Amino acid sequence: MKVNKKYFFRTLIYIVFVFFSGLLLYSIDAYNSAKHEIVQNYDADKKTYYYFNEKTNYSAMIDDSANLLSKKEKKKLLNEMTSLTKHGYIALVSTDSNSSSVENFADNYYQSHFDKEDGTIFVIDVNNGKIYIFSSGNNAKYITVSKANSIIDSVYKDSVNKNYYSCASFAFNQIQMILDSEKIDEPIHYIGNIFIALTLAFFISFIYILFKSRISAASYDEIIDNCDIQFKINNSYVKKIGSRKVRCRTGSTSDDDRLDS
Amino acid sequence: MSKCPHCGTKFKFEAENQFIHCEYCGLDFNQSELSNDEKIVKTNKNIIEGKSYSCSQCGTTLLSFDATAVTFCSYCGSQNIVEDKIVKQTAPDYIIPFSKTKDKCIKNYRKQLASFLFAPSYMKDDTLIEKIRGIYIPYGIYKIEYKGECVNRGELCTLSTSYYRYYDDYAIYTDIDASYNGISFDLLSKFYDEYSHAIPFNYKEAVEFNPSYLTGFCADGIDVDSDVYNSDAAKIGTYDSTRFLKKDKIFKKYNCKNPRAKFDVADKKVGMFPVYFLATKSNDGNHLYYAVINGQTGKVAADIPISFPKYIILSFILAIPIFFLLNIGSIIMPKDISIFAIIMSIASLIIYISQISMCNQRDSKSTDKGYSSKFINTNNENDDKNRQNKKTAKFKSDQNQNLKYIIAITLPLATILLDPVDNLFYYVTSSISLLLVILSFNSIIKIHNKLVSRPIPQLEKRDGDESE
Repeated sequence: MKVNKKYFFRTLIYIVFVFFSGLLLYSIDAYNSAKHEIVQNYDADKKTYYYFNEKTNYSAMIDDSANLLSKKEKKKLLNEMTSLTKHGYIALVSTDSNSSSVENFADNYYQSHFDKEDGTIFVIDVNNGKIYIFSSGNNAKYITVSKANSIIDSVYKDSVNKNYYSCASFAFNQIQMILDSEKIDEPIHYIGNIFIALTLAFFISFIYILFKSRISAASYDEIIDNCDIQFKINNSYVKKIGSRKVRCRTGSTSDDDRLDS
Repeated sequence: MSKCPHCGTKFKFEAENQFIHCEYCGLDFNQSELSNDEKIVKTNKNIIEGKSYSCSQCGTTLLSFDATAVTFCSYCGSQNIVEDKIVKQTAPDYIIPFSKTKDKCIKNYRKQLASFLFAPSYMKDDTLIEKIRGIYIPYGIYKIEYKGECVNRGELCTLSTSYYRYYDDYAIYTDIDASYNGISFDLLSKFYDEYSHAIPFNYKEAVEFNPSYLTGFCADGIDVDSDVYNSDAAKIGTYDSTRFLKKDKIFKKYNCKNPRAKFDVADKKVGMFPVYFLATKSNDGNHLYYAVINGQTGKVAADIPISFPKYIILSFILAIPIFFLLNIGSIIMPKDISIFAIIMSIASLIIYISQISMCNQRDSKSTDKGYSSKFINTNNENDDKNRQNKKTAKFKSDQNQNLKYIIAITLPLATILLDPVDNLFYYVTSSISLLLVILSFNSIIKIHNKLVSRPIPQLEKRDGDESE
């Protein structure tokens, strides 16, 4: 059987073309994946997932001691947290063995891991049944106590329903918005402020009414100014009637004792 | 008595230029130009004669000393006025003539109304305000004196150590010759003390009484014993004596802190003092708001009610800048809002209770000496029962309001004590509490309006005969 040389070379060219196209596509895909795939590290001793931002020297960390998240969730969450490392340290910490208050725990944890550097941690304390946001340094200027409470108000239901991934993800999203100087929704705050403003306005108006509408009697001085006054002091003399001693303790006086009358 | 010496027709006293003006021939006279026939004849008993007009609604009588007819009652606004009888009355010793015209006083009153943002619109109605009437009110003019020696206590520190101070006590004897003449209190029971104390008169401008000053104005007669205010007059002198005594070197030297001399009433005279009077009926027609204007100085003392719609609207407008201020950089924690709600509830409750007690006090008229001396010191069992019934009825109607306050205080308090994790509880309970506080202002405003109003007087006819 004679091989047709023409068809052979055509086929070879097609194969080579497909091979290199495939290689090219794979390379592009590999490049994109490499671009988005964060280098995630796992510390086996501490059982934490962490990411280190070489530009800012801050890191993102997930310390899930209470085992609230799956591996996949941790990786996904860490990906979302990496953008926050441009502002400071960022961490998700869960615990089920904390005996002190969640505030103390968060403070101690942050001090021991990040000292006084800029950063924020989101704590889920299963033992106390509380979630808490702690910030330090520059982050604390933006994520104030009021803002932190607003974020906790929004994610609390997810934590109650044990959707810890959604809870943490939304919380970090809100933190991102604040640090990127965007306002987060604070509807409950506004409603509370409306009632406070209305109550204060009603009180202030009423105090104005009390001052303005009531009739005030003329003072004694006003009455006296309208009178004919004659006042003469003809002579005066004094007569001693007694002596006394008064105890004096650093400027204050107590009961007196008469020495003689 | 009030006849023009030139043409014999009636004249009246003009407040603006302080002359007596004849409307027929247009001439003006001052007091010294009147002949002896027109001036009062000084006898042992000084008598003036006028017509009394009786109000069939409240029983008040107003006196007119010229031909001017009285067409409505200044105390209740009723137009059922009946010409009663000729009245002879002891002439007062002094009179302060009207020096502010009716128009000027109306202007002052309007100014007062305009400055009060919450005044209802019907109070500014021209037809109502034009009913201001000038009335001469009888006042007691007290002269208080202290002549003799008064004793006060002084001290001198003779030695001071780290632990002790040694004092010598002294009695300071001072010979004083002092008098205050012109302290005045009204001697009319239905001219409430609250108003008369707010518009003091300058006694130094008082002149000897002449009936020609009464022309064109009404007057009222005395129905309160002048002894009622003896202690009040003496108190003023005792209070002011400190000012003079303190200036004396001896009191400064002996560290006398509050030297005073106790005065007594030495003499009493009666004067007619000028007051412009206006009674405005409330919207429901059951209460009156009084305005009195000093006819000598123009000072206004007026009860002004609150228009609740205006109060709501202006409060909402005020709330807007407060709301923006709260949102700028303020850190209000959920617990803070709860504590704020408790404080506001308690404050609102205190205001409510104090308003009610002031209302009860005002209704009992125990602080009005003139009225109390005439009407309250009678042993009338029916009056006591009525008073008790009124108190009980008031207490019953307040229970719903008290319940609102109990809820407003306990809800946020319970939230703080229970300390739930979810901040939503704090916000919800605080919002309910603050809403109840806001709603309570409806009752507070109603009580305030009651406090500044008076019930329409009902047939409180004066006792005794007004004739000599």
